[in-house]
Amino acid sequence: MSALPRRIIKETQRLMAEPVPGISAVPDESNARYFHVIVTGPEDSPFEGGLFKLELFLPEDYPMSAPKVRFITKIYHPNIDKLGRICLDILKDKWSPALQIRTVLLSIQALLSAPNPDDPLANDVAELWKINESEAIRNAKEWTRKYAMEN
Amino acid sequence: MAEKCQSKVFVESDSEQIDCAVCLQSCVHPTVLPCGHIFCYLCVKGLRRTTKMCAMCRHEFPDDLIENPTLLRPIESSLDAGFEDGHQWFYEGRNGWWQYDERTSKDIEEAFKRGNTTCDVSIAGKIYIVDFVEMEQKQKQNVLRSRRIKRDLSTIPKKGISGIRAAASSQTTEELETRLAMLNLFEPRDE
Ligand SMILES: [Zn+2]
Ligand SMILES: [Zn+2]
Repeated sequence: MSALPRRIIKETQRLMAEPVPGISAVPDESNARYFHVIVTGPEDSPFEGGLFKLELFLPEDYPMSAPKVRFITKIYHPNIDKLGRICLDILKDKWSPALQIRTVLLSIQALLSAPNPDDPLANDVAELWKINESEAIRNAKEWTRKYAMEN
Repeated sequence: MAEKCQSKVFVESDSEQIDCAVCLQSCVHPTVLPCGHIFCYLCVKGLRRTTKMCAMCRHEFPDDLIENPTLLRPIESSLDAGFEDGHQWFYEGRNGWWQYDERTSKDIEEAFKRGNTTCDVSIAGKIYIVDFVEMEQKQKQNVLRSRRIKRDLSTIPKKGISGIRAAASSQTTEELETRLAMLNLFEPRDE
């Protein structure tokens, strides 16, 4: 029997009872530390209309260390690389145990609304975002349509 | 970009229940950091081991806070408290027995009463396996690191509770009241 720390139980219950608008996070049936996440592309962003799948995993010493989060759906974004890894300070050195799954997912949603090409992960995407923003946005919309709008 | 945590210290007038932002439960042995934020003693221990800063305002805190914690309430009242049969759970330290904190103790007792052979407990952000057959506690990620445990009368001689020395908590009421007054007067520093 592997008991789940109460904090994880509490966070999960709250995520179910009061879901964050535009975000769904459901724990896996066989592993309560693994969440299937869907983030809706924010309005007025190139990702609008898209449904983005992510995976979120709570490591053994969560909340002392940050959740591990990755995009599964392909996305054209300067802070998300080909493998779906996200460049976000709170997932790395700016993590604090007072943050929660909820706050992490909200921050990721905010990152979709406000890409930050000056702090890039996917270098070629960030490069284009800086020199030709309208083309980059066109690409992002195209990828959203292609990869995030199918069933 | 990231949502900043702007919660502040809140000490209710009767200081009965303080929520801990680390374990999301009411504080067990509330411990005050120099910045004024309050967490469970064991949650502070977890912070010291990992991020080394306050979970709310990111201020660093000195290591000796673990040895000499500023507790909101003395631990005396918890020291000899036991279950209905007057027993309590203990783990062995370098030179004596320590009483488990109330929350962990309750979890262990429940699993023991159900007749489980082991149970997992989360202490200071780490998971431990409590083994009722071997009567020991092992780190889940390093089972070679084990400590003996026992269920014994709550009144046996002991070092303290979960790392808080019995002697360390003998602050006078006056000192505590001054502390509380200060907390209500000053907001924690923010960056
Ligand atoms: Zn706590
Ligand atoms: Zn603080």
